[in-house]
Amino acid sequence: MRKHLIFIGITGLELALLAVLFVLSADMVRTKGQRQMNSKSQLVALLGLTDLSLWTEARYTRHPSQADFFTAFQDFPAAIEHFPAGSIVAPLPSVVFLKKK
Amino acid sequence: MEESLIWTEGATKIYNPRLPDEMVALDKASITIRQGQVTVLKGPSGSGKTSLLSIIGCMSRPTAGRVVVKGKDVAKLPERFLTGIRRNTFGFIFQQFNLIREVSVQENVALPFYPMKTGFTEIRERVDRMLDQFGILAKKNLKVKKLSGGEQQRVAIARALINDPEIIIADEPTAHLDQALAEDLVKILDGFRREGRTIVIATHDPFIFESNFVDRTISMRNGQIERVSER
Amino acid sequence: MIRHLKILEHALSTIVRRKYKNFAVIVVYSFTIMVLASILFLSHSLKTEAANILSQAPDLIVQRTMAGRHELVPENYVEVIKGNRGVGKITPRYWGYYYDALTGSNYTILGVTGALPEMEMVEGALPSRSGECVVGEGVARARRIGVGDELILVNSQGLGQVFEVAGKFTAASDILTNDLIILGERDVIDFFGFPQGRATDITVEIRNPSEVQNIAGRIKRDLPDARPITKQEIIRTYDAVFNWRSGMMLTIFSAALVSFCILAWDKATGLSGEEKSEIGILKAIGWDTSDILELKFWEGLVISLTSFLLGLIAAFVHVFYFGATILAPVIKGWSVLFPSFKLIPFVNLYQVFVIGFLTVIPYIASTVIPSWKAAIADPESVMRS
Repeated sequence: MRKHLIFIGITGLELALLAVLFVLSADMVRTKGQRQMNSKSQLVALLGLTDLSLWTEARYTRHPSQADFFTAFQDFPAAIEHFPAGSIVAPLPSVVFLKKK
Repeated sequence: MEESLIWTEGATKIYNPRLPDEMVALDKASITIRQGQVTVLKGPSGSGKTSLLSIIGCMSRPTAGRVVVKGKDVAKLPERFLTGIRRNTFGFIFQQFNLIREVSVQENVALPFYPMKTGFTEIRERVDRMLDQFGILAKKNLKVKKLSGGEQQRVAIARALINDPEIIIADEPTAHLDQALAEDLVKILDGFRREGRTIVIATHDPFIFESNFVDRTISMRNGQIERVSER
Repeated sequence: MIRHLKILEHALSTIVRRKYKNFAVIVVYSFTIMVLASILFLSHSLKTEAANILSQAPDLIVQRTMAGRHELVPENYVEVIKGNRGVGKITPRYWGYYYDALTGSNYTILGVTGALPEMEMVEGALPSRSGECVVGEGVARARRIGVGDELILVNSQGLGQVFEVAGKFTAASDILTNDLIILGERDVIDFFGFPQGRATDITVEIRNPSEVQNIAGRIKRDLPDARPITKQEIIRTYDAVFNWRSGMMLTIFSAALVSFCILAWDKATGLSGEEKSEIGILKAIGWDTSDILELKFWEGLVISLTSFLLGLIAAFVHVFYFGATILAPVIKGWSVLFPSFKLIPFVNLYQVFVIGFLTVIPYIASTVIPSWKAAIADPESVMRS
């Protein structure tokens, strides 16, 4: 009749582990994260970067914020018309919300 | 009448009322169970023994009539109160043992305590004492399905007694037992009687209703009381 | 309290009895939560980072479109834009894309001009003269080159051109610079063969941030074929990464599918005749309807809470310590170069609670509700089996 103690123990352990992870991450954000962000911001400012270098397969995925209205029809060599990444990042707000204006 | 612990008046149980498969299981049964006595409900299967037993044991409510347990009319009581009465007043021994087969002997016997306020240590002590009394303490950590039929029967009885009930209700307790185990059982039941507990047994096994620890025999047929004989 | 612990004890006994099934449920369930939480951790961290670092992006970028496509901007647009009040430095930019047939990857080539200060995230130096370049981590890896090596690219004339690698962006910056090649501005113009007096686009500095929209509007009026893009728009683009309409849907669907399978399995095998008769037994020996429901509640809670916590821990470690290795191939799409996710662990606790509610509660409900009917029935049925 000790199963409940085992369960409570395991759950407590899991919660403690999560708490430690969260605290560590908060600490990392404050120290290392802040430093990295500063130098990345410097990079953006000096080079005039506009986008994250996540997807390089097409213009509208490499520079989603610079994409024109018709970029889904691309000119990547041997382009497959629609890229999976295109479903992860939405088009530029001004394209999507044009009707509202 | 002051010694009557339970009495029913015109207790009727109808299954699927007003449907094509309507079945009258119990038809205006009026009986009395006296304190400290062994009462046997006797009759062929389908005679309404089990229905009467479950109504007496607060396992179900009659469609019509009155059932009074320890001065309380339980026919109209809500579910919650019936549970309380079952928990504190009755111990049940079922035909099929009705144990949870995949769980340890100890836990099976302890289960009636779980919804109550009793602490783990006290439960463990009481369960151990009870298992010891029935000679199955050594097997307390085994799963019930690993036990023999006789041992399972003992576990079932230990569970029925763990709450120290006033009234023991047994439904065909010998149906799955051989002669030796049945004799054992009668001895155990006789012991309870001597402790002053009230026992109600539904059976069609002559070995039980002919043994001399029975005080009253109520014969049933087609849901009705046929005859009451007192020793 | 002790009463609840005892009911929990029996719930655990019930779970242990069907240990293979329940173990499988926990594994699949944890995995589902891990995937879901990984996506949320990843996207939140990515969004936060993007919002922070892209706040340094140019205030306004002016492109030109023609026939619905990007077109090079005449440099004399600079003069027209200069006419607006509140406008600071205006810089024409020269950049473009380069498909590297050798490795099958795409690079972004960007020209810089003038003396740039030393940057923390560059090993080596920035291009100080013609023929020098700085490459991103991804480019360096694809071409197997480092600082001091040579990078050969084929220019618009079809001729190989040699650049000396003067510097390399550090791996820590690869979320921004993975596919970048930085050349001197003149080199970019010559390499791509830009027509005289044309740039890729124009960046505009605006002194008062609240004026950005107005100035964008005036530029659009003065230069009808121009397309101004504000910094706000750039940042908002990344706000929508993985939002509910984009990739999230796909992943949620697959997660929902898996959870549905678990639930269907659990339901189908859930309240068997055996379980029903057990409920009857418990009621017969003095358990109340509410005790039975509590038992079922604990059964659901133990499974779902354990899975939730395990999934969350796994997601955290997976995303922030292992760079989202399981998720990356899915997100990567067709990209040949893809940055490793060395993410800064921004965590949104609100999101964590939302995942908790959306996974734990329905599971508990789906274990408690099917047993309701059996729990309210009279226990006499156990006597009739």
